[in-house]
Amino acid sequence: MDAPLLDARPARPPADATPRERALLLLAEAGALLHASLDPEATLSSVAQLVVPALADWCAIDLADDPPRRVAVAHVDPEKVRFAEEVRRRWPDDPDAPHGVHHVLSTGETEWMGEIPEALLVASARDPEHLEVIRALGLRSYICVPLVARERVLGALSLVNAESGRLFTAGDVALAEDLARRAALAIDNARLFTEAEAARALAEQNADRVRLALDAGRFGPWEWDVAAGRVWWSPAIEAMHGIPEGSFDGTFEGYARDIHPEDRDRLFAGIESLLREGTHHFVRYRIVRPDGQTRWLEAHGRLYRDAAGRPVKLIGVCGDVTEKLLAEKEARRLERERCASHAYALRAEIAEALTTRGDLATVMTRCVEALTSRLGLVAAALWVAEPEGYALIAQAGAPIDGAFARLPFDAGPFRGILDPDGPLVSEGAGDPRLEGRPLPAGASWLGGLRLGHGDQRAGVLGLFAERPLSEDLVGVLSLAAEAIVQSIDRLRAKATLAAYAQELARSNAELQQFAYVASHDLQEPLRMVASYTQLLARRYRGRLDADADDFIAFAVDGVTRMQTLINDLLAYSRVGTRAREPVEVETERVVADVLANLRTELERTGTRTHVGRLPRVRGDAGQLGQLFQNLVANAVKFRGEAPPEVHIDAEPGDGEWTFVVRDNGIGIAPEFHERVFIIFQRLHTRDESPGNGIGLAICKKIVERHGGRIWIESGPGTGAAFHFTLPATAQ
Amino acid sequence: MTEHAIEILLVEDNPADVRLTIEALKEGKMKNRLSVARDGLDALAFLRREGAYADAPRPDLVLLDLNLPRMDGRELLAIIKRDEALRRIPVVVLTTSKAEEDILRTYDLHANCYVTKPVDLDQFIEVVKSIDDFWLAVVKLPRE
Repeated sequence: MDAPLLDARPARPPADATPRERALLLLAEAGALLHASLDPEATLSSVAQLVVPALADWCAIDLADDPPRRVAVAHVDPEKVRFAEEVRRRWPDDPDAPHGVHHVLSTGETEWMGEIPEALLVASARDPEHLEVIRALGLRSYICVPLVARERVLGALSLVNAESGRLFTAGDVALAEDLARRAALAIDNARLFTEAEAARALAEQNADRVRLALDAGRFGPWEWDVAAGRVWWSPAIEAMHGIPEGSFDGTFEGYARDIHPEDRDRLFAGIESLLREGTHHFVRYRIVRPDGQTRWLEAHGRLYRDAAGRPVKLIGVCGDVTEKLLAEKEARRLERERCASHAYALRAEIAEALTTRGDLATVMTRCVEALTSRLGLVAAALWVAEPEGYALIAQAGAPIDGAFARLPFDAGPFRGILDPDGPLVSEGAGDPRLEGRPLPAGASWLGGLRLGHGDQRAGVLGLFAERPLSEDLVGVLSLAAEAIVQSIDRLRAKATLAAYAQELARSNAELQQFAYVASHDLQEPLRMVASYTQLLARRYRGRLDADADDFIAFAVDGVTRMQTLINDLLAYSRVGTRAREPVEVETERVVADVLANLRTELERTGTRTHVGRLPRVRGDAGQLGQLFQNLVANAVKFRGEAPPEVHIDAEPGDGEWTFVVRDNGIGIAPEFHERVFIIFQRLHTRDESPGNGIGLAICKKIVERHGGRIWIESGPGTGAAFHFTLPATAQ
Repeated sequence: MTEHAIEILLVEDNPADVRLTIEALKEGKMKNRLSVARDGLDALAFLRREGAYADAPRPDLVLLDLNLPRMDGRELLAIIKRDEALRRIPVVVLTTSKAEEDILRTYDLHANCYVTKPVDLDQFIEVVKSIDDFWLAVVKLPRE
């Protein structure tokens, strides 16, 4: 509501004014009111106030809404207005009544009753109370005129005289109609204005949107009047070029001036081509602004031609896309980074999978599992090269058809996919290269990576996916493939090594068993040969002839040597077959026992022994005794001219002890340092020194069985020092 | 010591070994009579005077090899030492085996002693002679 207007009570016409003068004054006032506001309802209310009491006791205005709506009621007494409204509320107008507002609104005809007949009041009344109320209102005379504008009934103006006793004249009716016409026009105008306003607001909103869109993309419109050679730039474009608004000179040269030299030829060639035969214009180019800044602009346009097809006008928009390009570049960089981090994660995951403990199949299964989950594959599989082709050893995801179990070296379905220089993306389910091997359920794309470099064939990695993998990812995979190849090589080498080690252990055990069985079983018949040749010698020496004695002597000698050999062989093989679990051994005590065993021999040869502090070690006490006994006996056996001396010492090392058995004997030339440890290798003739050269071989075997090493430091005439290591006890 | 010969039962399947033992015993001082059983069952029949051995003498000493066909020495030893009539006959295990296990086991079966056959003939003869001496001359055995 517009309060000031409402309160502006019109001036009263002078008491002596003629009816004609009063009417003119009323219309003038009403017209002023009606044009003063664009709010029709507020205005109509003011008009109603203006009419009462000058023209009528009552005035009401209804608008032809559905249902009709009373927008203004006026009476000199506000109490009466409220009362009338109450009456109307209780007894609403009958829309089908042959008189009244509804009737006027529907017919568009004026109703005029100079004097309301009693019969009409009775007919209109709904009930006796209503009739009484109507009578109480004292309604005398009545006019109802339609508000018509542009042939449409917009509402109705009702005038009623009651208390004043005045009766409406034909002049009043004309005045009312005049007033109604003006009011209708005002309402129509206001409505048109409101609609226009709304349309304008909508247009403005749209314009705003366009402007926002242009601003957002930093776009501004431009025009090139080709015929006139004039260029128009919107202020936005001037801003893009970094020049003050309105300063663009409007020439093509002015436009061309800022274009980056490197982009100029390309741009102008495009424009020429456009003028010659094109319609749509799209260019992206750089400008160098007066302040030296380089910006990227993007122009879109449409070329209009005249009827003869001559270019007339190129109209378009132009935007600064520098930030957009930067953003795009950044987005690409981020995407690359995301890809890289994805790649990194993938490689890390594969690397982790490859460190799984287990055999080739276990490790590769983990690997393809990682690929399947990380890349969201339907399935992944890995084949390794075997002599006849590739064999499937690992798969993950959806089950892979059995036909994929083996692949020929050209890799069958992967043929062509396996580019020698890297991976290739394939066609998919319909690919004839699949050769009847159905893809796993859900997969429509097959990718493969050949594992191995150049001619090396390590394996094939197969990927089954719903849709092709990005080339970036495939690139990443080829990096991962490197690690997979290394892992395959390593695991296969490990497996081969393990197989060799197992085979070696088996053949060693077999050999040992053979040596034992051979030497043991040979002993019996040999004992017989020996016994009977000895019996021959015992009973018949000197009783046959000299030849017989010689022959018997040779036979006895040979058989005795053979017995020794077999015994030695048995002893040597027993180092391996008769081994006991290692325990903690006091080597000092072992050595003391050994020296006690050898006492007779040591005394006989005048050998002096010196034993240092010896440690506890882990080992087989019996074998260690044999070791020391062989070394001490060896030292005594190969004594020189001087009285033999044997030193036994030990020094701690890293988790082991190094023992030394040193003598002052004849020593061993360096070239024989290795040979002395070989079974049945003798450095001396049988005459010089007895024995089969088994002692040191047994020593070496014992030391090695204990996880140690044995070596000699010696030269001829300088004595010999036998060093060997034994593992220290846990503490 | 006595004018009548000492009865020895040699349980040994290898004829060469049998002969060697005979030869070794020949060199001993004791007069002896050697009977030979070729396996455990044969020896048991001899000891129990069964079948062809009804008139067999009761041996004063049994020399027993361990590895025998049909019934091996360990089994025979166990039977002898469970048999009240035979358990007092000294049984000397004379074998090529030096295995600890064999030694322990035969003593557990109450062998009277365990002797490894020396490889060398001279030593073998010495061993057989000393067995002869020890068990038939030195040791006081219960009267039958």
